Amino acid sequence: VPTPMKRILTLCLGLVLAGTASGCGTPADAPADKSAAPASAAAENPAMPAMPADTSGETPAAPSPGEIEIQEVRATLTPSMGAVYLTVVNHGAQSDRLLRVECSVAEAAEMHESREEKGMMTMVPHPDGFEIPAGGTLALQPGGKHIMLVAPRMFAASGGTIPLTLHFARAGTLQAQAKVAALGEGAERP
Amino acid sequence: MKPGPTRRMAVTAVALLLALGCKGSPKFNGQAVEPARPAELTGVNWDGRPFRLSEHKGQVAVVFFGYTYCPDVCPFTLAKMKQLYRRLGARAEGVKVVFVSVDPQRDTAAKLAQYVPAFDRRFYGIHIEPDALEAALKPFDATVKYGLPQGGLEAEGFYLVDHTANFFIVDRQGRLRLKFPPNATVDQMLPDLEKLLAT
Repeated sequence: VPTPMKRILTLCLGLVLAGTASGCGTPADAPADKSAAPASAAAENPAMPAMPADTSGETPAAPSPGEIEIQEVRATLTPSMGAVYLTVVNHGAQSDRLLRVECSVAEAAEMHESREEKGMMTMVPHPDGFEIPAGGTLALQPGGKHIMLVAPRMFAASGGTIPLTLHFARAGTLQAQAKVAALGEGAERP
Repeated sequence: MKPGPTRRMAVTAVALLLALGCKGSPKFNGQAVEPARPAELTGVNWDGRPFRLSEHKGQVAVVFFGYTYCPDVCPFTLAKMKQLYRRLGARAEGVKVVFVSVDPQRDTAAKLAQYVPAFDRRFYGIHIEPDALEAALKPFDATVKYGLPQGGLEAEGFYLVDHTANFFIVDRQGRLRLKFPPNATVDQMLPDLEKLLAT
C-alpha cells in the first residue's frame, strides 16, 4: 500500500532536512560507554513534540515523563534489508501503542511479525503498530515482531548505531539509537 | 494346527529383534523424515562454482531455504548456523551449511556472494534456476509463496517471500534424515549432528 509508505518516506525526508539525523550512524553517535544499554536514549532525549502531520486521529494525553522506556535497541543489517529489535516497557497505568517508526538511513521502516505455521514462515504486516499493555512489555525479537528496514544505507556499519524515531499514541515521539550487531551475531537473545 | 514350540520361538525372536532394534537406533531431537530419502540439490554456489549436494557425501549437511531480501528470519537462521560452527569447532569441517535461495530472480550468485560469506565464508549459498526450483523443493516438502510488489519504494518492485524455514539434516550417506522447526536452537541441533557425524 503506497500511502503509509509515502508518509514514512516524507517523514524520513523531513527529519533529514530538519537536521535531526545529522551524522547518523557514525561511530561518533554511539554512546561513549559501549557497555551502557543503548536504549537509554529514550531517557536521555526528551520527547519531541508530536508531529503536526500525524493524522492517526489519536490525541495523546499528556503522559508522565519516563512512562515509556525503550530498552535493548539493536539492529541487524544485510546489504538489502535490516531489522530492528527492542523492548518497550510501559510503566504507566494506561496502555500505549507504538504507531510508527522512522529511520533516516532506510528507505522504509515497517512493523511486521514473522509467524510460523507448519514450518512455513509468513510475514504479517502490522500497519497499526504494536500495543504495549499498561504495566506491560512489548518485545520485538528475532523470529517474531520486528521493525523491518528496507534498503538500509548503512550496511557494514557493525559497531555503529542507526537513529530511530518512535511515535507512540500516548507518550508521543521518542528518539533512540539502535546498536548495529555484527552480521550473524543475533542468535543469542539478550 | 496348534501353535507349537517353533512358532513360540519365532515370536520371541521377533520381539527380541524389535527390542534390540529400538535400543540400537539413536534418539534424535529432530523429527525423523520418514522414509529417509536421498537428498539432492543442484545449482550454483555464491562463488560461481557448480554445486551438487550428493557430491558431499561423507559430510553431514544442514540445509535451509531463504532469500537475501529476508529481513528477520533468514539472518537469524544464518546467525544460528554461525553459532553452530563456533560450537562445533574443528568438527565443523564435517558439517556443510547450505542456504538455498527461494528467490532466484533477485538472488543471483553475485547477489548471494554479497550475503552468504558475510556470515561465514564456509557457508554455501545456492542459486537454483527458477524453472528448476519447484522440483528441487519437493523432496523437502518445502513451499514458497511470493508476496505482491510494494509500490513507492526506490528498491523497485520490492516484495517479501513466505517460505518453509525448517532446518533439514542430511546424513553422511546423503539421506535426508531429520527436520527441525524454524525456532529450533543450536542446543537442540548440536547433539543430533554429533550423532550423525559418528555414524
